[in-house]
Amino acid sequence: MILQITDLSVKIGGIEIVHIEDLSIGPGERVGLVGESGSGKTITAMSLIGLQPRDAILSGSILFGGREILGLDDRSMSLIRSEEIGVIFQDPSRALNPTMRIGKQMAEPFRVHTNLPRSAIQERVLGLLDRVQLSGGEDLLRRYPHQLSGGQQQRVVIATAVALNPRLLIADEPTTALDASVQQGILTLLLELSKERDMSLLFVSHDLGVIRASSQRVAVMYGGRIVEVGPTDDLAGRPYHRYTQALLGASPRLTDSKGQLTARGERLSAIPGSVPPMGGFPDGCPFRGRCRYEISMCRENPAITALENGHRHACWNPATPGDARAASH
Amino acid sequence: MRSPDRQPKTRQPTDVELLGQEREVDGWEPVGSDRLKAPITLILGIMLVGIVVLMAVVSAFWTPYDPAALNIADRFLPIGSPGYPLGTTRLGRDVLTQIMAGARTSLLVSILSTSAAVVIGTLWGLAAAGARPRVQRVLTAAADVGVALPGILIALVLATAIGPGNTAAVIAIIGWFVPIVARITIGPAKQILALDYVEAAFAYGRSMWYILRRHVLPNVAPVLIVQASLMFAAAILIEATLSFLGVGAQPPTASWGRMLNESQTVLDFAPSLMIIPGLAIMGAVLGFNLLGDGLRTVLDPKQSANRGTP
Repeated sequence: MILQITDLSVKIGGIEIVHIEDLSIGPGERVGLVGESGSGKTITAMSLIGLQPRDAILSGSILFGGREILGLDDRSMSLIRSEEIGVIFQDPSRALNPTMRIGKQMAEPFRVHTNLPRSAIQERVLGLLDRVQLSGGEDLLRRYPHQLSGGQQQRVVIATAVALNPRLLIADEPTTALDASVQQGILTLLLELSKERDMSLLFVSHDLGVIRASSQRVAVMYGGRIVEVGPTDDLAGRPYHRYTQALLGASPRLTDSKGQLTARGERLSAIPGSVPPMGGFPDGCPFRGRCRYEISMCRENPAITALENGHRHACWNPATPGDARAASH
Repeated sequence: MRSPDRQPKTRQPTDVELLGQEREVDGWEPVGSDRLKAPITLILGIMLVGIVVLMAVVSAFWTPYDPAALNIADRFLPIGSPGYPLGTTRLGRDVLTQIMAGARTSLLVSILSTSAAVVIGTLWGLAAAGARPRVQRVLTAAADVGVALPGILIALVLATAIGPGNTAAVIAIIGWFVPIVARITIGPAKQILALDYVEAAFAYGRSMWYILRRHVLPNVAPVLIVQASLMFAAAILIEATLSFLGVGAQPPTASWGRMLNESQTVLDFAPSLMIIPGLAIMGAVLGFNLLGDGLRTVLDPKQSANRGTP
């Protein structure tokens, strides 16, 4: 395991925002973290690398390559962050300084973490540009971020994040702020990079379609907890947790269960209600109140049911195969 | 069959042409007037500032008379007297000489005080934005208190404590402006510190000081430049005020504010002695305000292209 999270708890102002009992990522494995806005996925991802909000209190254990990284001092954390874990943020226009040339921003990781001479850094940066399929070479390096398109900006951000060959890349909604036509290219690039460098990928997104295309395993988050986790195909084909089922029912599909393009559009089902504000989730199952299949048992903290292939869920009234089909059709 | 076919073909282009012309006329007027508006104020500002700067520079090398020299025999000469185009004061000093030398005092005090205040205030604001929450609260509250205090009183107290003179005026204006600059810097600086590229810079190991210098400062600079131009105009006015109240420039240093002070008792029979320095102050303040305003308008479209700048 490259990353092993055990009993991670993130508290802000005495309220437990995130509690993750067990989540792991293997070497080269691509894991998706999916959930609605406000389900705690971004806080979870940022907590892994010590970029949680200033007033957050963390407890539990985060093992990275067998080493405990929770509670490390800033200095050692920043070393791990840049050399072993890369991060890509949601909005590329916020991830690049508008007053700094592209070339200077891309050279930053090398300037901070290597003793390479200027010319060698320039060479590496040009190599990175090539790798993320950005043409323009030195001319592009002299430009400012606003002279690039959103997709180009995100490629620059990705290039900078993988500059020092990290073993894990955390991508927080890397395609959300981009045009639909550009999303596929960015997704493909991330998959290629992950495969050719044997780099693990933690993919945070609210878009199940993106997760399905990118991840081997999916963890579904709601109310700061992982409600279901399992291999992507198993989980998408046969969801157990009622929240996963509802999420699948709310996401458009262009193909039916046999992988054929569907001829007609299907009606999508919305999830009733909205995500409660921070700390406003009910006791017991966090999905209680929005769930159509609620039973009295749901007041209790859900027990985790383990299935085959590492598929686990935390639902008292899981979906039956018939329900699952109904939800995804 | 042919003639009915041709008729609509010849009519259509004229319709389209007409529509196009109308749209062009509609589009032209506001664009034209918008483009003219900015340069006129800017040109006026540059002209006024140019006159003041020219007077100040020339006065450093040459003035019609020695600014300090008295000539009791020629006192209270009216405008247009031979040898004294703007007349003389009650001590027989040449008014033109006094206005020219006064421009130099005015600009020197304003440049020194505004630039020092911007530097100190920016450092204060950046330090506050980057500090730990508790220190940040203290520094922010201190800036708030500084802004809330009545500036002219603080300036008077400071100037009196130091002893009257140009040094006192400079220090008083710095003391007045520093909290304002700090207050203006803190907000945008905090906004920029919350952006992802700053987070990324922390992630790859840059220090807070480096981030404040290389990421935050360039992005708050536009706000500070505009503020500095407005403060410069205010500094001219404050310098004149302090000199008028007697805590600024002391004789024999020429100053517009002191000219006003010295001539207020003779307002009845020599009003030009108050009107001339009054116009000088007004022209300078207006000039720098128009210049700052015009520059902001001219620079604005560029600013909006830089996303991430609040």
